[in-house]
Amino acid sequence: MDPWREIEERAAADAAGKPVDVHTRPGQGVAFVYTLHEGVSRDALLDAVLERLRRIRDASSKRVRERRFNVWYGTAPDDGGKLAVLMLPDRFDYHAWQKLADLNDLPGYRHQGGFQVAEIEGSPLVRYDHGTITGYLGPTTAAPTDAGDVEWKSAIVEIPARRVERKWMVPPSGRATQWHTGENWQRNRERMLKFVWQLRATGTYPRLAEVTEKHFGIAVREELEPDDVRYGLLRLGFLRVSDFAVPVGVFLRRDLSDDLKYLVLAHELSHYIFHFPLLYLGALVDDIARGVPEAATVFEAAVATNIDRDALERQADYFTSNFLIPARYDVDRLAARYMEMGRQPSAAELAWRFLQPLIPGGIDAVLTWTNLEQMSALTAADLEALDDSPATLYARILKATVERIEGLEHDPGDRIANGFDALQETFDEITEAVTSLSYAEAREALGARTAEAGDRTTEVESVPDDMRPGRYELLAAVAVPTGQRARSIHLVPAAGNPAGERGGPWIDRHQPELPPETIAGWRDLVYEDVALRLYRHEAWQPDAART
Amino acid sequence: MAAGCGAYVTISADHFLGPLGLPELQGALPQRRRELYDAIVELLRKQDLVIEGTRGASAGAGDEADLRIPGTPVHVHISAVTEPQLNEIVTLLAGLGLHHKGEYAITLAGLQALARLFSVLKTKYGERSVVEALTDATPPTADGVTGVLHGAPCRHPGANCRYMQDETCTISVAAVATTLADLESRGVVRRLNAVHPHEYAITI
Repeated sequence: MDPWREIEERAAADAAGKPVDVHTRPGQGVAFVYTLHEGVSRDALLDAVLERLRRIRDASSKRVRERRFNVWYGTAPDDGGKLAVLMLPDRFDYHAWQKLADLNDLPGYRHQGGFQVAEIEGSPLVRYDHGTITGYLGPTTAAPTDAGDVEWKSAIVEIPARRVERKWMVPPSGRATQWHTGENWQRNRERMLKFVWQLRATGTYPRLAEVTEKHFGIAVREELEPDDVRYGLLRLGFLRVSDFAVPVGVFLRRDLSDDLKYLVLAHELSHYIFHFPLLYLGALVDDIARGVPEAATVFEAAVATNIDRDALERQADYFTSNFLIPARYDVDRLAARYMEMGRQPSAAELAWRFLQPLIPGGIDAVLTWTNLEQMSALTAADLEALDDSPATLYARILKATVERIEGLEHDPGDRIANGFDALQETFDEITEAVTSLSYAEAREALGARTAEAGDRTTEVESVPDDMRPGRYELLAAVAVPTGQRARSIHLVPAAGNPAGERGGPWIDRHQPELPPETIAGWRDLVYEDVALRLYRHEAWQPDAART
Repeated sequence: MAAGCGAYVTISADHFLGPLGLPELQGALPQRRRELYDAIVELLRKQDLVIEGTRGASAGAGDEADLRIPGTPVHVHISAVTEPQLNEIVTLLAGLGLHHKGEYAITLAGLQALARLFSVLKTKYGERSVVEALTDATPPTADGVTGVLHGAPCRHPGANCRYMQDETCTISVAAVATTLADLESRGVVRRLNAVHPHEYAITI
């Protein structure tokens, strides 16, 4: 719908009994600007415009006559006074325009130019529709009786809701397997980086979720409850021992708005792109820890010592900003070519304006010279308030975006890379112990490391006994020999037990060929030093038989 | 009671209206939004419906990367979702457009005063609609308010207003002018100028 030409008629008349037209506020238009004084008033300009519309109506050329358009009138502040502004559509037939062009001969005329209708405080003045001329008066003003060729109505204006443009995301070619390994992660990562590089605008959550599932092989589930302290998480599933592959899933809080889900999903994908190796090592160790629980403690201690989780979050935020303001969109270069009221906005200011409407409830203001000062003040306040520990997700993303477009280093000193190298070394030591020593010797060697690591890690962060609280229910081992840790078995509900009842059948996730048992049955079957982990929410994981 | 049992919702400055069952305020100025969040938390805290801290938080697992709510999460008892005063406050903010106005700071005391002010308005005589329409009318005169209301769908169709016919407002200029004069005498609105046409603003 072209708001310069289309209107709707309201069924109910106004208070003076006149019909009412419903207009939508147009965007850009051509403005004739006058100094507002007694010689130039709304009534005077109304008469002048009506006179010119009659010229169009009475033109000999059908090409000139047969058209429709609206003319708006409004005022705008000026230094110490007010301006009167007539606004017409910015696209106009040349011959018809000739009938109107002498509006610049009226008293008080100052200049003509292209402006936004939002910049004036105004409303529709007249309408021309294929020979019918409509004049607009206030809703309580009675129609005059002496202008017989004009229909008198009142107008109400609807301001269109502005939504930031979100575009359909072009999917990458091909599809990734749902089973991820260190090797195919490299290829998947390349495709994801290419996908992000090719973004032309911010996308939508449903589309990003679809691309993530279909093309990146990552499950997307909205399964976190509204009381969760996490907006989302990236989770690896059970290891498939035949090829050491794991499924990957993103879990989102289900009560988030789509705008927020988009942001959180982008953040978790960024974790996958940069931090999958870390999570993958964690999954491998967790699998080893079923039989050699000391491996988990050694590894977790190494994580606590070498990995700065805040740095990982900052890195993920940094990359997430590409999903909001695409990497191809050179904000810095754009800022260098911008001029507003005699000053150049910084790239950070532009980033604020682009990001603001992408955040739920954020403002998507029509930026005009009338509100520029207010917008600049808002931007400056938000940018000044940015610190090292932003208190909102928006502030985090704004900070990361500003750092990205200003080209700041997000991992000074390669702390993340060095931490990953240290973890790889620890993992190699664990696998060396497990593969080259006997079972008892491996547990003893890693147990010694555990004691050593325990001393060290208490200074850094206490390592929980169990690595994954919350994801499963833990039934502790009956008895664990002194100085040792419990082994574990991972159980998932069998097909006949969808609710995960303890009395129903459960299967060993890693040996599904074994017959199902109740929890009490499994307790009888396993050794006393084996803990039972009951996983109830792992239905998102693909069948291990699938590629 | 532990988090995770469904008795609480967790809110943050980024995400609080939806979890509390309130409509999203589109186009809210960033400061107004943060102020509203603080005011709502303060209100709920006074009603003993808030637990602060990272309840239910667990250490990050080795094979997970989670996005935690920045800052200190606030856990709100689920009964707050049906809190009528909250709904009234947000409806007022939206109706008066205060969430995208720069000249006011949103505080709990201010919101409660506003809610009290509105509670004395008689919706069956169109008073609430008249006051709300003041923010949409240009200029905010009796004529302007009539232009906004007359012929438009009734803003409070459940109020059994005497000016509603077929769910459409039929209030006249004279009725609006008289209503505004009465509201002025009761301190709900104030007159901005001395000569006709009189312009009015809400007393905040």
